[in-house]
Amino acid sequence: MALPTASTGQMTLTATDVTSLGYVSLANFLKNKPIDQVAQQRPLLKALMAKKKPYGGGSGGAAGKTIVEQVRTSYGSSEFKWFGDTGLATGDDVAYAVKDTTRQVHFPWNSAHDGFKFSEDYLLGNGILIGDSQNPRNSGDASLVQLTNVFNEAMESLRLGFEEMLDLSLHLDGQYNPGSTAMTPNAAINGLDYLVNMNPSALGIGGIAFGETWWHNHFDYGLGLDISGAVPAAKGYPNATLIANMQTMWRACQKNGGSPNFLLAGTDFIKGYELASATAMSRYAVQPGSMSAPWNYDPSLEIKDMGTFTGLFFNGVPIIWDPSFDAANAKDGGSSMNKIVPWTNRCYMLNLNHMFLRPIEGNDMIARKPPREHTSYNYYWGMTWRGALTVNRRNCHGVISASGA
Amino acid sequence: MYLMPTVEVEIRKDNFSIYTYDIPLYEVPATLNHWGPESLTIGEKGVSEPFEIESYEQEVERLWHKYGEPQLRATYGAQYQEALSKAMKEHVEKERVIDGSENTAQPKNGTSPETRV
Repeated sequence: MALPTASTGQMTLTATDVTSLGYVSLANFLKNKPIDQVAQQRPLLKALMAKKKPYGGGSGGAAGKTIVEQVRTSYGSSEFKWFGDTGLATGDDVAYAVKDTTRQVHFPWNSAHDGFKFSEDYLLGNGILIGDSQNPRNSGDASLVQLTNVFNEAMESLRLGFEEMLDLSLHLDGQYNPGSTAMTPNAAINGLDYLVNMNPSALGIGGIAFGETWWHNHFDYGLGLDISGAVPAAKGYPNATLIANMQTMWRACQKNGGSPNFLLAGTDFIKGYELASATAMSRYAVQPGSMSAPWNYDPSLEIKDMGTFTGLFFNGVPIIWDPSFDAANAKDGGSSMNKIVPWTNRCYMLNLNHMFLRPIEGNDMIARKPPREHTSYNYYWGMTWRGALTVNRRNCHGVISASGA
Repeated sequence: MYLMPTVEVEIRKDNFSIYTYDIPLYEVPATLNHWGPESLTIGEKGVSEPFEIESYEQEVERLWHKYGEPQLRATYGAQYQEALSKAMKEHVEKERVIDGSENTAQPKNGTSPETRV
Protein backbone atom coordinates (compact mmCIF):
# COMPACT_ATOMS: atom_id res chain seq x y z
CA MET A 1 0.00 0.00 0.00
CA ALA A 2 1.35 3.43 -0.96
CA LEU A 3 2.13 5.87 1.78
CA PRO A 4 -0.06 8.99 1.92
CA THR A 5 1.50 11.91 0.13
CA ALA A 6 1.03 15.68 0.08
CA SER A 7 -0.92 15.37 -3.18
CA THR A 8 -3.70 13.48 -1.37
CA GLY A 9 -3.96 16.20 1.22
CA GLN A 10 -2.29 14.17 3.97
CA MET A 11 1.08 14.98 5.51
CA THR A 12 3.49 12.55 7.13
CA LEU A 13 4.44 13.36 10.73
CA THR A 14 7.72 15.06 11.40
CA ALA A 15 10.05 13.89 14.16
CA THR A 16 8.98 16.86 16.25
CA ASP A 17 5.33 15.92 15.86
CA VAL A 18 6.02 12.38 16.94
CA THR A 19 7.87 13.56 20.04
CA SER A 20 5.12 15.94 21.09
CA LEU A 21 2.46 13.30 20.44
CA GLY A 22 4.38 10.95 22.67
CA TYR A 23 3.93 13.30 25.62
CA VAL A 24 0.18 13.26 25.35
CA SER A 25 -0.61 9.79 24.15
CA LEU A 26 1.14 7.62 26.71
CA ALA A 27 -2.13 7.05 28.54
CA ASN A 28 -3.58 5.27 25.54
CA PHE A 29 -0.72 2.81 25.52
CA LEU A 30 -1.39 2.03 29.16
CA LYS A 31 -4.51 0.11 28.17
CA ASN A 32 -2.48 -2.28 26.03
CA LYS A 33 -0.97 -5.42 27.42
CA PRO A 34 1.96 -6.90 25.51
CA ILE A 35 0.72 -9.30 22.90
CA ASP A 36 2.29 -12.67 23.51
CA GLN A 37 4.35 -13.78 20.52
CA VAL A 38 5.43 -17.07 22.02
CA ALA A 39 2.23 -18.39 23.60
CA GLN A 40 1.44 -21.95 22.73
CA GLN A 41 -1.26 -24.49 23.45
CA ARG A 42 -0.19 -27.10 25.99
CA PRO A 43 -2.73 -29.91 25.69
CA LEU A 44 -0.80 -32.41 27.80
CA LEU A 45 -0.33 -30.03 30.71
CA LYS A 46 -3.94 -28.92 30.43
CA ALA A 47 -5.29 -32.45 30.45
CA LEU A 48 -3.09 -33.50 33.37
CA MET A 49 -3.91 -30.36 35.36
CA ALA A 50 -7.63 -30.97 34.84
CA LYS A 51 -7.37 -34.30 36.63
CA LYS A 52 -4.51 -33.69 39.02
CA LYS A 53 -4.51 -35.58 42.29
CA PRO A 54 -2.70 -33.66 45.01
CA TYR A 55 -0.48 -35.72 47.25
CA GLY A 56 -0.37 -35.07 50.94
CA GLY A 57 3.36 -35.51 51.33
CA GLY A 58 5.06 -38.03 53.54
CA SER A 59 8.17 -40.03 52.95
CA GLY A 60 6.59 -42.92 51.07
CA GLY A 61 8.95 -45.43 52.56
CA ALA A 62 12.52 -45.78 53.59
CA ALA A 63 13.82 -44.10 50.45
CA GLY A 64 11.81 -40.95 51.10
CA LYS A 65 10.57 -38.35 48.62
CA THR A 66 8.33 -40.74 46.78
CA ILE A 67 4.66 -40.99 45.96
CA VAL A 68 3.43 -44.53 46.32
CA GLU A 69 0.84 -46.26 44.14
CA GLN A 70 -0.53 -49.64 45.15
CA VAL A 71 -0.88 -52.02 42.19
CA ARG A 72 -2.27 -55.53 41.78
CA THR A 73 0.11 -57.58 39.71
CA SER A 74 -2.05 -60.69 39.25
CA TYR A 75 -4.81 -62.64 40.93
CA GLY A 76 -2.13 -64.72 42.64
CA SER A 77 -1.93 -68.46 43.00
CA SER A 78 -5.24 -70.22 42.77
CA GLU A 79 -6.74 -73.41 44.09
CA PHE A 80 -9.74 -73.21 41.79
CA LYS A 81 -11.18 -76.59 40.87
CA TRP A 82 -14.49 -78.20 40.03
CA PHE A 83 -15.24 -80.63 42.80
CA GLY A 84 -17.69 -83.33 43.61
CA ASP A 85 -18.24 -85.62 46.52
CA THR A 86 -16.87 -89.07 45.85
CA GLY A 87 -19.25 -90.84 48.17
CA LEU A 88 -22.20 -90.13 50.43
CA ALA A 89 -19.93 -89.31 53.32
CA THR A 90 -16.74 -88.53 51.42
CA GLY A 91 -16.14 -84.98 50.36
CA ASP A 92 -13.72 -84.10 47.58
CA ASP A 93 -10.57 -82.41 48.79
CA VAL A 94 -10.23 -78.70 48.20
CA ALA A 95 -7.29 -76.44 48.96
CA TYR A 96 -6.69 -72.80 49.78
CA ALA A 97 -4.11 -70.52 48.24
CA VAL A 98 -1.93 -67.97 49.90
CA LYS A 99 -2.45 -64.71 48.04
CA ASP A 100 0.36 -62.31 47.31
CA THR A 101 -1.00 -59.98 44.68
CA THR A 102 -0.03 -56.41 45.42
CA ARG A 103 3.10 -54.40 45.03
CA GLN A 104 4.01 -50.83 45.81
CA VAL A 105 5.30 -48.61 43.05
CA HIS A 106 7.38 -45.63 44.11
CA PHE A 107 7.50 -42.43 42.09
CA PRO A 108 10.12 -39.94 43.27
CA TRP A 109 8.74 -36.43 43.40
CA ASN A 110 10.76 -33.48 42.22
CA SER A 111 10.95 -29.76 42.86
CA ALA A 112 11.00 -26.96 40.31
CA HIS A 113 11.77 -23.28 40.77
CA ASP A 114 11.80 -20.15 38.66
CA GLY A 115 12.12 -16.56 39.79
CA PHE A 116 13.06 -12.99 38.98
CA LYS A 117 14.46 -9.99 40.77
CA PHE A 118 14.27 -6.23 40.46
CA SER A 119 16.30 -3.52 42.07
CA GLU A 120 14.46 -0.77 43.90
CA ASP A 121 15.88 1.82 41.47
CA TYR A 122 14.66 -0.11 38.43
CA LEU A 123 11.13 -0.34 39.80
CA LEU A 124 11.13 3.36 40.66
CA GLY A 125 12.15 4.09 37.09
CA ASN A 126 8.97 2.33 36.01
CA GLY A 127 6.82 4.31 38.44
CA ILE A 128 6.56 1.48 40.94
CA LEU A 129 7.07 2.09 44.65
CA ILE A 130 8.35 -0.68 46.87
CA GLY A 131 9.77 -0.84 50.37
CA ASP A 132 10.56 -3.31 53.09
CA SER A 133 7.07 -3.01 54.45
CA GLN A 134 5.06 -2.58 51.27
CA ASN A 135 4.34 -4.59 48.17
CA PRO A 136 4.96 -3.09 44.74
CA ARG A 137 2.38 -0.44 43.86
CA ASN A 138 2.10 2.22 41.20
CA SER A 139 3.11 5.72 42.21
CA GLY A 140 0.60 8.55 41.84
CA ASP A 141 2.30 9.61 38.61
CA ALA A 142 2.88 6.12 37.26
CA SER A 143 0.57 6.74 34.34
CA LEU A 144 2.95 9.41 33.09
CA VAL A 145 5.93 7.11 32.83
CA GLN A 146 4.62 3.61 32.52
CA LEU A 147 3.88 1.90 29.23
CA THR A 148 3.90 -1.53 30.79
CA ASN A 149 3.99 -2.28 34.48
CA VAL A 150 7.25 -4.24 34.58
CA PHE A 151 6.32 -5.97 37.80
CA ASN A 152 2.96 -7.24 36.54
CA GLU A 153 4.59 -8.24 33.27
CA ALA A 154 7.34 -10.12 35.12
CA MET A 155 4.79 -11.92 37.31
CA GLU A 156 2.73 -12.97 34.31
CA SER A 157 5.71 -14.07 32.24
CA LEU A 158 7.03 -15.96 35.26
CA ARG A 159 3.85 -18.01 35.41
CA LEU A 160 3.68 -18.55 31.63
CA GLY A 161 7.37 -19.43 31.45
CA PHE A 162 6.96 -21.82 34.35
CA GLU A 163 4.10 -23.55 32.57
CA GLU A 164 6.23 -23.82 29.43
CA MET A 165 9.05 -25.54 31.30
CA LEU A 166 6.71 -27.76 33.33
CA ASP A 167 4.93 -28.83 30.16
CA LEU A 168 8.20 -29.61 28.38
CA SER A 169 9.48 -31.53 31.40
CA LEU A 170 6.26 -33.54 31.53
CA HIS A 171 6.98 -34.73 27.99
CA LEU A 172 10.60 -35.77 28.58
CA ASP A 173 11.91 -38.87 30.31
CA GLY A 174 13.67 -37.22 33.22
CA GLN A 175 17.18 -37.33 31.79
CA TYR A 176 17.14 -33.91 30.16
CA ASN A 177 17.44 -30.40 31.46
CA PRO A 178 14.46 -28.51 30.03
CA GLY A 179 15.96 -25.11 30.73
CA SER A 180 19.36 -23.55 30.38
CA THR A 181 20.20 -23.26 34.08
CA ALA A 182 22.52 -26.01 35.30
CA MET A 183 20.80 -28.65 37.41
CA THR A 184 21.79 -31.82 39.18
CA PRO A 185 21.30 -34.76 36.82
CA ASN A 186 18.62 -36.50 38.85
CA ALA A 187 16.56 -33.42 39.65
CA ALA A 188 14.17 -33.45 36.67
CA ILE A 189 10.69 -34.94 36.85
CA ASN A 190 10.11 -38.22 35.02
CA GLY A 191 7.58 -37.35 32.33
CA LEU A 192 5.50 -38.99 29.62
CA ASP A 193 8.42 -40.45 27.68
CA TYR A 194 9.52 -42.18 30.87
CA LEU A 195 6.16 -43.76 31.69
CA VAL A 196 5.15 -44.54 28.09
CA ASN A 197 8.18 -45.17 25.94
CA MET A 198 9.43 -47.08 22.93
CA ASN A 199 11.60 -49.50 24.90
CA PRO A 200 9.86 -50.41 28.16
CA SER A 201 12.12 -53.34 28.95
CA ALA A 202 14.98 -50.84 29.29
CA LEU A 203 13.51 -49.11 32.28
CA GLY A 204 13.08 -49.88 35.91
CA ILE A 205 10.13 -47.78 36.96
CA GLY A 206 8.99 -47.41 40.53
CA GLY A 207 11.07 -50.28 41.81
CA ILE A 208 9.36 -52.93 39.64
CA ALA A 209 11.76 -55.29 37.91
CA PHE A 210 12.48 -54.64 34.24
CA GLY A 211 11.19 -57.99 33.08
CA GLU A 212 7.69 -57.66 34.56
CA THR A 213 5.66 -57.35 31.37
CA TRP A 214 2.47 -56.45 33.26
CA TRP A 215 4.29 -53.22 34.04
CA HIS A 216 5.23 -52.42 30.42
CA ASN A 217 3.43 -49.90 28.25
CA HIS A 218 2.60 -50.87 24.66
CA PHE A 219 4.76 -49.58 21.84
CA ASP A 220 4.97 -49.94 18.10
CA TYR A 221 7.41 -48.13 15.81
CA GLY A 222 6.61 -50.11 12.72
CA LEU A 223 7.73 -53.63 13.58
CA GLY A 224 4.49 -54.75 15.19
CA LEU A 225 2.96 -54.42 18.63
CA ASP A 226 5.53 -54.66 21.41
CA ILE A 227 8.21 -55.98 19.06
CA SER A 228 11.63 -54.58 19.70
CA GLY A 229 14.35 -54.21 17.09
CA ALA A 230 16.07 -51.70 14.85
CA VAL A 231 13.79 -48.74 14.22
CA PRO A 232 12.80 -48.68 10.51
CA ALA A 233 14.11 -45.77 8.46
CA ALA A 234 10.55 -44.53 7.91
CA LYS A 235 10.16 -44.25 11.72
CA GLY A 236 6.68 -45.73 11.64
CA TYR A 237 3.83 -47.11 9.59
CA PRO A 238 2.81 -45.83 6.17
CA ASN A 239 -0.83 -44.79 5.92
CA ALA A 240 -1.84 -48.05 4.23
CA THR A 241 -1.19 -50.10 7.36
CA LEU A 242 -1.50 -47.46 10.05
CA ILE A 243 -5.13 -47.89 11.12
CA ALA A 244 -4.93 -51.68 11.40
CA ASN A 245 -1.91 -51.37 13.68
CA MET A 246 -3.57 -48.62 15.71
CA GLN A 247 -6.53 -50.93 16.23
CA THR A 248 -4.17 -53.67 17.41
CA MET A 249 -2.65 -51.33 19.97
CA TRP A 250 -6.07 -50.03 20.98
CA ARG A 251 -7.22 -53.56 21.82
CA ALA A 252 -4.00 -54.22 23.72
CA CYS A 253 -4.62 -51.08 25.79
CA GLN A 254 -8.19 -52.27 26.42
CA LYS A 255 -7.23 -55.82 27.36
CA ASN A 256 -6.86 -55.24 31.07
CA GLY A 257 -9.72 -52.78 31.36
CA GLY A 258 -10.72 -49.33 30.19
CA SER A 259 -9.99 -47.58 26.91
CA PRO A 260 -7.55 -44.87 25.94
CA ASN A 261 -9.32 -41.55 26.37
CA PHE A 262 -6.67 -39.07 25.31
CA LEU A 263 -4.80 -39.21 21.99
CA LEU A 264 -1.86 -36.90 21.58
CA ALA A 265 0.00 -36.80 18.28
CA GLY A 266 2.78 -35.08 16.38
CA THR A 267 2.57 -33.41 12.99
CA ASP A 268 3.80 -36.24 10.78
CA PHE A 269 1.62 -38.76 12.55
CA ILE A 270 -1.41 -36.60 11.87
CA LYS A 271 -0.43 -36.28 8.21
CA GLY A 272 -0.21 -40.06 7.96
CA TYR A 273 -3.50 -40.51 9.76
CA GLU A 274 -5.23 -38.02 7.47
CA LEU A 275 -4.05 -40.01 4.46
CA ALA A 276 -5.11 -43.24 6.12
CA SER A 277 -8.55 -42.00 7.07
CA ALA A 278 -9.13 -40.60 3.61
CA THR A 279 -8.69 -44.01 2.11
CA ALA A 280 -10.38 -45.90 4.91
CA MET A 281 -13.82 -45.50 6.36
CA SER A 282 -14.84 -41.91 6.88
CA ARG A 283 -15.89 -42.63 10.44
CA TYR A 284 -12.28 -42.29 11.52
CA ALA A 285 -12.08 -38.72 10.42
CA VAL A 286 -15.50 -37.19 10.78
CA GLN A 287 -18.10 -37.70 13.42
CA PRO A 288 -20.74 -35.03 13.13
CA GLY A 289 -22.45 -34.26 16.37
CA SER A 290 -19.80 -35.81 18.54
CA MET A 291 -17.67 -32.71 18.91
CA SER A 292 -18.85 -31.89 22.39
CA ALA A 293 -19.13 -35.38 23.82
CA PRO A 294 -17.38 -38.11 21.87
CA TRP A 295 -18.14 -41.40 23.52
CA ASN A 296 -14.69 -42.52 24.55
CA TYR A 297 -13.11 -39.16 25.30
CA ASP A 298 -12.35 -38.31 28.89
CA PRO A 299 -15.51 -36.49 29.99
CA SER A 300 -13.62 -34.17 32.28
CA LEU A 301 -11.90 -32.59 29.27
CA GLU A 302 -13.51 -30.21 26.84
CA ILE A 303 -12.41 -30.66 23.23
CA LYS A 304 -13.16 -27.11 22.23
CA ASP A 305 -10.85 -25.90 24.97
CA MET A 306 -7.98 -28.00 23.72
CA GLY A 307 -7.23 -25.53 20.94
CA THR A 308 -5.25 -28.00 18.92
CA PHE A 309 -8.04 -30.42 18.08
CA THR A 310 -7.29 -31.74 14.60
CA GLY A 311 -10.81 -32.61 13.51
CA LEU A 312 -9.75 -36.24 13.50
CA PHE A 313 -11.03 -39.02 15.71
CA PHE A 314 -9.97 -42.55 16.38
CA ASN A 315 -12.50 -44.92 17.94
CA GLY A 316 -14.47 -41.99 19.24
CA VAL A 317 -11.55 -40.14 20.76
CA PRO A 318 -10.38 -36.88 19.20
CA ILE A 319 -6.76 -36.69 18.12
CA ILE A 320 -5.09 -33.67 19.66
CA TRP A 321 -2.02 -32.14 18.04
CA ASP A 322 0.63 -31.28 20.58
CA PRO A 323 2.91 -28.39 19.52
CA SER A 324 5.21 -29.13 22.45
CA PHE A 325 6.40 -32.27 20.64
CA ASP A 326 8.75 -30.06 18.61
CA ALA A 327 10.38 -28.65 21.75
CA ALA A 328 10.66 -32.13 23.23
CA ASN A 329 12.33 -33.36 20.05
CA ALA A 330 14.80 -30.50 20.16
CA LYS A 331 15.82 -31.65 23.62
CA ASP A 332 16.07 -35.41 23.23
CA GLY A 333 16.50 -35.77 19.46
CA GLY A 334 13.51 -38.12 19.37
CA SER A 335 15.26 -40.64 21.57
CA SER A 336 12.86 -42.76 23.58
CA MET A 337 15.04 -45.00 25.72
CA ASN A 338 17.48 -44.74 22.83
CA LYS A 339 15.02 -45.85 20.18
CA ILE A 340 15.13 -42.89 17.83
CA VAL A 341 11.54 -42.19 16.88
CA PRO A 342 11.02 -38.45 16.35
CA TRP A 343 8.17 -36.95 18.33
CA THR A 344 6.55 -35.70 15.15
CA ASN A 345 5.93 -39.32 14.14
CA ARG A 346 4.39 -40.37 17.45
CA CYS A 347 0.87 -40.80 18.75
CA TYR A 348 0.27 -41.51 22.41
CA MET A 349 -2.81 -43.46 23.39
CA LEU A 350 -3.31 -42.56 27.02
CA ASN A 351 -5.88 -43.57 29.59
CA LEU A 352 -6.04 -40.61 31.95
CA ASN A 353 -7.91 -42.71 34.50
CA HIS A 354 -4.55 -44.35 35.16
CA MET A 355 -2.09 -41.48 34.76
CA PHE A 356 -1.98 -38.61 37.21
CA LEU A 357 -0.17 -35.41 37.84
CA ARG A 358 0.43 -35.48 41.58
CA PRO A 359 1.47 -32.08 42.90
CA ILE A 360 2.34 -32.06 46.57
CA GLU A 361 -0.46 -30.37 48.48
CA GLY A 362 0.22 -26.66 48.85
CA ASN A 363 3.10 -26.83 46.38
CA ASP A 364 1.32 -26.56 43.06
CA MET A 365 2.90 -23.57 41.32
CA ILE A 366 2.86 -21.35 44.36
CA ALA A 367 4.24 -17.82 44.44
CA ARG A 368 7.25 -17.30 46.69
CA LYS A 369 8.64 -14.08 48.19
CA PRO A 370 12.15 -14.61 49.50
CA PRO A 371 13.40 -11.90 51.86
CA ARG A 372 15.60 -9.09 50.58
CA GLU A 373 19.29 -9.41 51.30
CA HIS A 374 20.58 -6.83 53.75
CA THR A 375 23.51 -6.07 51.44
CA SER A 376 21.46 -4.79 48.50
CA TYR A 377 18.09 -3.34 47.56
CA ASN A 378 17.14 -6.14 45.21
CA TYR A 379 13.75 -7.76 45.66
CA TYR A 380 13.00 -11.35 44.73
CA TRP A 381 9.91 -13.21 43.59
CA GLY A 382 9.69 -16.88 42.75
CA MET A 383 7.45 -19.77 41.91
CA THR A 384 7.84 -23.39 42.93
CA TRP A 385 6.18 -26.69 42.14
CA ARG A 386 6.69 -30.07 43.73
CA GLY A 387 5.23 -33.35 42.59
CA ALA A 388 5.42 -36.28 40.22
CA LEU A 389 3.72 -37.78 37.21
CA THR A 390 2.49 -41.21 38.21
CA VAL A 391 0.67 -44.16 36.72
CA ASN A 392 -1.07 -46.96 38.52
CA ARG A 393 -1.17 -49.05 35.35
CA ARG A 394 1.12 -48.96 32.36
CA ASN A 395 -0.42 -51.60 30.10
CA CYS A 396 -3.38 -49.34 29.31
CA HIS A 397 -1.14 -46.79 27.62
CA GLY A 398 0.63 -47.05 24.28
CA VAL A 399 2.72 -45.14 21.79
CA ILE A 400 2.66 -45.83 18.06
CA SER A 401 4.39 -44.06 15.18
CA ALA A 402 3.56 -43.24 11.58
CA SER A 403 5.89 -42.27 8.78
CA GLY A 404 3.60 -39.47 7.67
CA ALA A 405 3.48 -40.79 4.12
CA MET B 1 23.77 -42.40 7.59
CA TYR B 2 26.26 -44.05 9.94
CA LEU B 3 25.94 -46.83 12.47
CA MET B 4 28.04 -46.47 15.58
CA PRO B 5 29.22 -49.23 17.91
CA THR B 6 27.50 -49.11 21.26
CA VAL B 7 27.92 -50.10 24.84
CA GLU B 8 25.20 -50.90 27.34
CA VAL B 9 24.89 -48.56 30.29
CA GLU B 10 22.76 -48.64 33.38
CA ILE B 11 21.91 -45.28 34.87
CA ARG B 12 20.58 -45.28 38.41
CA LYS B 13 18.86 -41.93 38.68
CA ASP B 14 17.51 -42.78 42.12
CA ASN B 15 16.42 -45.89 43.98
CA PHE B 16 13.33 -46.30 41.82
CA SER B 17 14.29 -44.95 38.40
CA ILE B 18 16.80 -47.03 36.47
CA TYR B 19 17.50 -46.63 32.79
CA THR B 20 19.34 -49.28 30.79
CA TYR B 21 20.07 -48.82 27.15
CA ASP B 22 22.86 -48.66 24.62
CA ILE B 23 24.79 -45.53 23.89
CA PRO B 24 27.49 -44.95 21.28
CA LEU B 25 31.00 -45.37 22.62
CA TYR B 26 31.95 -41.72 22.19
CA GLU B 27 29.04 -40.73 24.45
CA VAL B 28 30.36 -42.67 27.44
CA PRO B 29 32.63 -39.87 28.76
CA ALA B 30 29.79 -37.35 28.67
CA THR B 31 27.40 -39.79 30.36
CA LEU B 32 30.00 -40.55 33.00
CA ASN B 33 30.64 -36.88 33.68
CA HIS B 34 26.94 -36.12 33.76
CA TRP B 35 25.73 -38.86 36.09
CA GLY B 36 28.92 -39.59 38.00
CA PRO B 37 30.57 -42.97 38.51
CA GLU B 38 28.31 -43.92 41.42
CA SER B 39 25.18 -43.70 39.25
CA LEU B 40 26.54 -45.29 36.10
CA THR B 41 27.37 -48.91 35.32
CA ILE B 42 29.00 -49.58 31.98
CA GLY B 43 28.27 -52.95 30.42
CA GLU B 44 29.62 -54.94 27.57
CA LYS B 45 30.59 -53.34 24.29
CA GLY B 46 29.10 -54.26 20.94
CA VAL B 47 26.60 -56.88 22.08
CA SER B 48 23.57 -54.94 20.94
CA GLU B 49 22.47 -53.14 17.84
CA PRO B 50 24.54 -50.20 16.62
CA PHE B 51 23.38 -46.64 17.08
CA GLU B 52 22.18 -44.92 13.96
CA ILE B 53 23.12 -41.32 13.21
CA GLU B 54 22.16 -39.19 10.23
CA SER B 55 25.30 -37.06 10.23
CA TYR B 56 28.14 -36.09 12.54
CA GLU B 57 26.73 -32.58 12.86
CA GLN B 58 23.28 -33.78 13.88
CA GLU B 59 24.78 -36.14 16.41
CA VAL B 60 26.81 -33.35 18.00
CA GLU B 61 23.61 -31.34 18.17
CA ARG B 62 21.79 -34.22 19.89
CA LEU B 63 24.54 -34.41 22.49
CA TRP B 64 24.47 -30.63 22.89
CA HIS B 65 20.78 -30.76 23.72
CA LYS B 66 21.18 -33.76 25.99
CA TYR B 67 24.16 -32.63 28.06
CA GLY B 68 24.41 -28.90 27.45
CA GLU B 69 27.42 -26.99 26.17
CA PRO B 70 29.26 -26.59 29.51
CA GLN B 71 29.19 -30.35 30.04
CA LEU B 72 30.43 -31.06 26.51
CA ARG B 73 33.23 -28.51 26.88
CA ALA B 74 34.23 -29.97 30.23
CA THR B 75 34.25 -33.48 28.79
CA TYR B 76 35.65 -33.12 25.28
CA GLY B 77 37.37 -29.75 25.45
CA ALA B 78 36.58 -26.34 23.98
CA GLN B 79 36.64 -27.79 20.46
CA TYR B 80 34.14 -30.47 21.38
CA GLN B 81 32.50 -30.50 17.94
CA GLU B 82 35.76 -31.48 16.29
CA ALA B 83 36.69 -33.93 19.04
CA LEU B 84 33.35 -35.70 18.79
CA SER B 85 33.34 -35.77 14.99
CA LYS B 86 36.83 -37.25 15.04
CA ALA B 87 35.79 -39.89 17.56
CA MET B 88 32.78 -40.83 15.44
CA LYS B 89 34.91 -41.20 12.32
CA GLU B 90 37.43 -43.33 14.18
CA HIS B 91 34.75 -45.61 15.56
CA VAL B 92 33.23 -46.18 12.15
CA GLU B 93 36.67 -46.95 10.70
CA LYS B 94 37.63 -49.29 13.53
CA GLU B 95 34.45 -51.27 13.03
CA ARG B 96 35.27 -51.63 9.35
CA VAL B 97 38.71 -53.01 10.14
CA ILE B 98 37.36 -55.52 12.64
CA ASP B 99 34.55 -56.68 10.43
CA GLY B 100 36.49 -56.56 7.19
CA SER B 101 33.50 -55.50 5.20
CA GLU B 102 32.82 -52.31 3.32
CA ASN B 103 29.71 -51.49 5.24
CA THR B 104 29.95 -52.80 8.75
CA ALA B 105 27.29 -50.55 9.93
CA GLN B 106 24.45 -52.56 8.48
CA PRO B 107 21.77 -53.12 11.08
CA LYS B 108 21.34 -56.60 12.38
CA ASN B 109 17.77 -57.74 12.32
CA GLY B 110 17.65 -58.60 15.99
CA THR B 111 13.91 -58.55 16.47
CA SER B 112 12.66 -59.99 19.72
CA PRO B 113 8.98 -60.46 20.36
CA GLU B 114 7.90 -59.64 23.87
CA THR B 115 5.46 -61.91 25.63
CA ARG B 116 2.53 -60.26 27.34
CA VAL B 117 0.43 -61.36 30.24
